[in-house]
Amino acid sequence: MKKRILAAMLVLALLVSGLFAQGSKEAADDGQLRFGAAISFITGYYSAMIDGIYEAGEDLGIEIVLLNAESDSTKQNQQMENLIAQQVDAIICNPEDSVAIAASVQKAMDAGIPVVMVDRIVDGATPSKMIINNSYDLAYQLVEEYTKMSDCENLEAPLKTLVMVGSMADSYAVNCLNAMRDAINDYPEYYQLVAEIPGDWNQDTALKGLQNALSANPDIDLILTPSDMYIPCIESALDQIGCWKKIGEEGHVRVMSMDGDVNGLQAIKDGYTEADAVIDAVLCGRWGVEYAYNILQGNEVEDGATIDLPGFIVNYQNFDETAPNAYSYGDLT
Amino acid sequence: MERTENKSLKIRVMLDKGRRLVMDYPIIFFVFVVFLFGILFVPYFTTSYNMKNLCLQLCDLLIIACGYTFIELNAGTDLSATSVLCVSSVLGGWIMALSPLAAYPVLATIAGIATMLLIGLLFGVINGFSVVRLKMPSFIVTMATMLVGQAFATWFAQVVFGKNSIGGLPQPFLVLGGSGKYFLVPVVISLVMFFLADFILRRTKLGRDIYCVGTNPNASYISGINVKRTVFIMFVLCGLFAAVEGIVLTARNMAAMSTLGSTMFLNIVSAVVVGGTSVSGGFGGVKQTLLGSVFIVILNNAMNLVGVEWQTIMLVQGLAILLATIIDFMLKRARYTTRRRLAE
Repeated sequence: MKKRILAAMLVLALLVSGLFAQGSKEAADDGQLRFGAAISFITGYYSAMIDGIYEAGEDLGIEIVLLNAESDSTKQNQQMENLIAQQVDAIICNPEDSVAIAASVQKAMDAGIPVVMVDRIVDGATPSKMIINNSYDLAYQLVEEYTKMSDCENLEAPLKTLVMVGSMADSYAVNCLNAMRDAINDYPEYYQLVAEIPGDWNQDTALKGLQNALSANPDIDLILTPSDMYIPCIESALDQIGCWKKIGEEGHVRVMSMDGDVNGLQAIKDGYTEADAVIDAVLCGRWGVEYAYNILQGNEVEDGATIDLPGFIVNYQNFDETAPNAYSYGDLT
Repeated sequence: MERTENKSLKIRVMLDKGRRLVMDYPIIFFVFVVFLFGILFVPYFTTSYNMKNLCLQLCDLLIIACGYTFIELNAGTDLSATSVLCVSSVLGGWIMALSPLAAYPVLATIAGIATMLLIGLLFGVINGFSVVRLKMPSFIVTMATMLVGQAFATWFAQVVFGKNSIGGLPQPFLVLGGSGKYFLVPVVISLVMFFLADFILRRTKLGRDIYCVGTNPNASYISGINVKRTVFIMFVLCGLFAAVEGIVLTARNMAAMSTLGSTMFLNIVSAVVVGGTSVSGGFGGVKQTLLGSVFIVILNNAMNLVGVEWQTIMLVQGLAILLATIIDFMLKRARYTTRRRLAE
């Protein structure tokens, strides 16, 4: 009896499937371009990038299908497969893991769907384009420029430095870490690396790691972070030991960050942190959609080329001149 | 007159059996509804490409969920199931892509797969031994092995790969993930594992022991069942099934990853519990798990295809789990009533 009911349900489902399959396809084919956006996870920076994707989509009359992998590479691969199944016209991909995404990118390219990588590269497949900031150069520049500021004149000893780390599966995080290490090694009279704190792009993990590192090194002078998403953790950890102080106040610990989102710039504006390397997240999202659109229009070729996103340093001394150029400036209070 | 009475009796028996089907497989109605919804309203849902996707995405969950069903039938927990995925992935990946054996793809694949299965076995033995011999709660033991496993996978990947993942796995291994024209391979592997689990549970003494121990361990012991041995084997089976899932997932992703399965535990438990296996043990099986997995996979797929925002997907998933748990508790009482009536 059970088997009969099961079989009847299955047969009914298949019959309806056959009847409606054609209708479903036609329903989706309304002539408007549809782009899939596969995002690794959501932070302030990525929210700004998503804004850019939607803005460009609206300007060009493109429907955007946004999917968030929530830091799960396998889930992101499944979402890519689902976007291919939807026959979207192009995919804007911000991979969680540069290696693990390769198979899905290749599948999409094989299916004739252009894939534009944003913010992170793909390792093991050739996409249509890759829009990334030169994170190594920008992180190096952030650390190097500080040595030229008046803060570093007459230092009695190198600044004891903690470096926060993102996820080691992420090319951006690895580039930032390598750049910060290299800059610290190149300027030993200014910096002394005390500890590296793995955060795995998780604020809770980062906070605990930082609290432990500060317990072991209470006399820390500088914290370097590859993302403004860690600024609230840094504030919390420093506040607990009474060191979340404004620049110039007794006990202030220097903080330099990357991204240029509202957390980072607000902290500079309020006088708590020294500098932020601004990567234009909105532009990154916009370019992703625009390049994909131009490829579909035949105005760009699918050569897997890397497009460099512009970046610049905002510090507390040049804030009034440079910060208005940052994408998050309008959100500051 | 007698004929009419016979007819009404037959109808009553049929209705009771139908009711029992719904009570044994509470999710079946929801699977049917979500499938019908997909067919009727979701563009591209019925395309051959998407059907292939659904099958492959089902493979990403079904094997490990079948393994976890053994644990759930005993009302236990195995948090380390996802750690088996990442540890086996990085060690197997290293053997296949970086070790001296990598020069011989077939040999490297065999050695890699054997190592991955051994990892699953090792986790199962450690968990089972700690629960049975050391009398540690399964939650504590498996949490410890989960943490050790994740830490080891991360450390190993950092030291050996220099990053969290590595590609370049041999072609014979990638076939197991359905690469190219071999899309049926992971489907066949999943089905074999599903039928194996079903066979163990329904056709062997071990299966009957698992249900007995899950229902009432003390009564099982008095009845002469070797409870310790049964619980130990449950953990070993869970570890082995997780290792097979690790093989399929690594091949599917075409990369060995130290983060493999890091966010998967919720989906595994959802598939088992939503399917209808009781959270208090003793009732359920892999057929329920299959339905639970199908439900979760179709739900995600359909919502992706419709273009539903990710927050909504999470919300719907959460509500589905809540609903399934409520139904499970409601049906538990009704189940016994129906069985008693059928017996009468």
